[in-house]
Amino acid sequence: MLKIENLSKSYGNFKAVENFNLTVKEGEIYGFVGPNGAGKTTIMKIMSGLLPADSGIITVADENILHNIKKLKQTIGYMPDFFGVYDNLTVIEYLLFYSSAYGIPEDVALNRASELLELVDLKDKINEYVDGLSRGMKQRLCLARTLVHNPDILILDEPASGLDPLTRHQLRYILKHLSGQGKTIIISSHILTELAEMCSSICIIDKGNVIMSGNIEEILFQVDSSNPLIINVYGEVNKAVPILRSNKYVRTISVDNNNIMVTFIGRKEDEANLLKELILNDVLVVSFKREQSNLESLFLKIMEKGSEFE
Amino acid sequence: MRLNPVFEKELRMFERSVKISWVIFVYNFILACVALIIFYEMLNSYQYTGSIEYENMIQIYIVMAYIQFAMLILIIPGLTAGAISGERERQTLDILLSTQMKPWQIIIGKLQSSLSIVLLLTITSMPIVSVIFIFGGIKLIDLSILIILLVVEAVFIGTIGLLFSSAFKKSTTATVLTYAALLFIFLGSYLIVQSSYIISQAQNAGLENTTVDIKGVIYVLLINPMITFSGLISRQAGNTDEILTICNKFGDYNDDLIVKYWVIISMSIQLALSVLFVFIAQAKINPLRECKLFKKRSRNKKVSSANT
Repeated sequence: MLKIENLSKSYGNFKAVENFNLTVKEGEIYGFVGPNGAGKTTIMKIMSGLLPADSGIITVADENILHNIKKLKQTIGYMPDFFGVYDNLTVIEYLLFYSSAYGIPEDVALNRASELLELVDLKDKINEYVDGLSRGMKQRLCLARTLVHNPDILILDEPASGLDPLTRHQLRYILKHLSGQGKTIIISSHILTELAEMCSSICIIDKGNVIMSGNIEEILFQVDSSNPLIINVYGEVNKAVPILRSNKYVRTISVDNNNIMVTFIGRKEDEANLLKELILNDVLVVSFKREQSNLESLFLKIMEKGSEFE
Repeated sequence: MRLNPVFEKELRMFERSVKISWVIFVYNFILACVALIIFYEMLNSYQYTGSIEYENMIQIYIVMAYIQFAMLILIIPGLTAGAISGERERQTLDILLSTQMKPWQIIIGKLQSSLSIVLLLTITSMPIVSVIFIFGGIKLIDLSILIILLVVEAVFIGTIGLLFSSAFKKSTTATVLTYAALLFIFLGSYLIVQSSYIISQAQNAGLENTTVDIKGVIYVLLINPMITFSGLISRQAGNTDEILTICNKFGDYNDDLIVKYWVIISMSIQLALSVLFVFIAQAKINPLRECKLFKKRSRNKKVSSANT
């Protein structure tokens, strides 16, 4: 389990990260969501040993890895948002170079590199020059590079940016596969639909603070419950409105043809009772549902009224 | 023993680089041309005089040694000044620093790779330099000492390049500043001594029988590779007083021990400075060096709060 407690980082007077707390379970794919400058990359760099934290601890298996850089580097595999490759190195040489940078013996590294190239579907490019690979291939090769030392935690900063849908699909498949192997993956992305499909939990960050974090479905439900109920009735609008008006959880009602939008502050059970009441009063209900949020609308909504959640 | 991963990677990249092949070709081509011209002149004069003067062989050696030295001064900054900044520009430095490699290992790997080029250039020039052995005059030990000096100077100049490369983001800036620093070391150090002498002379004007003394300022020249090099080459050519002659232009150094052992002392100082430059360069690229300072500061704060 990865636990971040009270992590803070300032650049001069600017507080990039302030008392950041997070717990990520083993094998979880955790998404970092936030606008540009929210502090996502700063947190990821601190976790990768590329930036010093002003204060706070990062615990992996009950050990503060910020005080044990060797363990930190062994535990974490980092893929930056922008990265380059070396000219004049083949795919296998590229992986072997990073293996040797981790002190892995050559024979072990060779086997590992072969497995990783199989995983990222680059086995047929093994002797090609890295510089000649497409962007998507480079991205997959870089992912293989983060895995050469078999880390428990992967930190991927915007791994899907600039990739075509097919490559994004491949990347998603690989990450799910790695998660299945027990690797904890922390991933930041601006492509929120991607995160929604991949991540089991998310953390919404703004100005270095956690705005909201937790299971993605729970978060969506929490936000959905503030969305209006949309009730579609079959020609019985006048019959339905008084019933709705008499319900103590209904705040506002607006009618658009056969659609009635209701601001409803009750729980799931109260929603069910309202539906039952309408049906018992002979209102022909075609559909009865909360307006659905996706991660993108959730993100925008939270950013708009961030202070409310803080 | 395992090679430094950065060194190994750079070697692999060098061996495939067309640029390096051209550097080796041009370097040896210039040396060969100079050797041939001097050799031709020598044989030409033999036709008239009927004898070969061994002093001429020494002249070939001196000229070729100076050419090698000059070319290394030009080539090494080009190799090292872009070493770290190049990694930054290529966006590979962060990835490298996230591995188990320590910053000093990265710097040493880069230094090793530029030294390997120097050794490669020196070794490939051996067939040309060995021309001087045809008629004798220079011993193998002299050539070995020359190679050691070239390597020491390559380390010194190389670490200056690495220092600037780790301090500046852009390779162009690092390269320009490295050459500027070398210009200062080669010319500036001499100008400092010269100016001190002129000032001292002006201060002593009017006083009779007074020797102008610039005291320790003369030792600034110990960091000047040119003085070290010319001292060694002149000694090998039979002139043991070259350094003394230079120093005596600025006072009386006949009994000065440092001037007597100038070459070895200046080589030691330059190597010590190289170690310092490597230390600063590794601190510059160490992403966590602030963290250590922070720890110290926070520890101090804790101590001071505990005291109060």
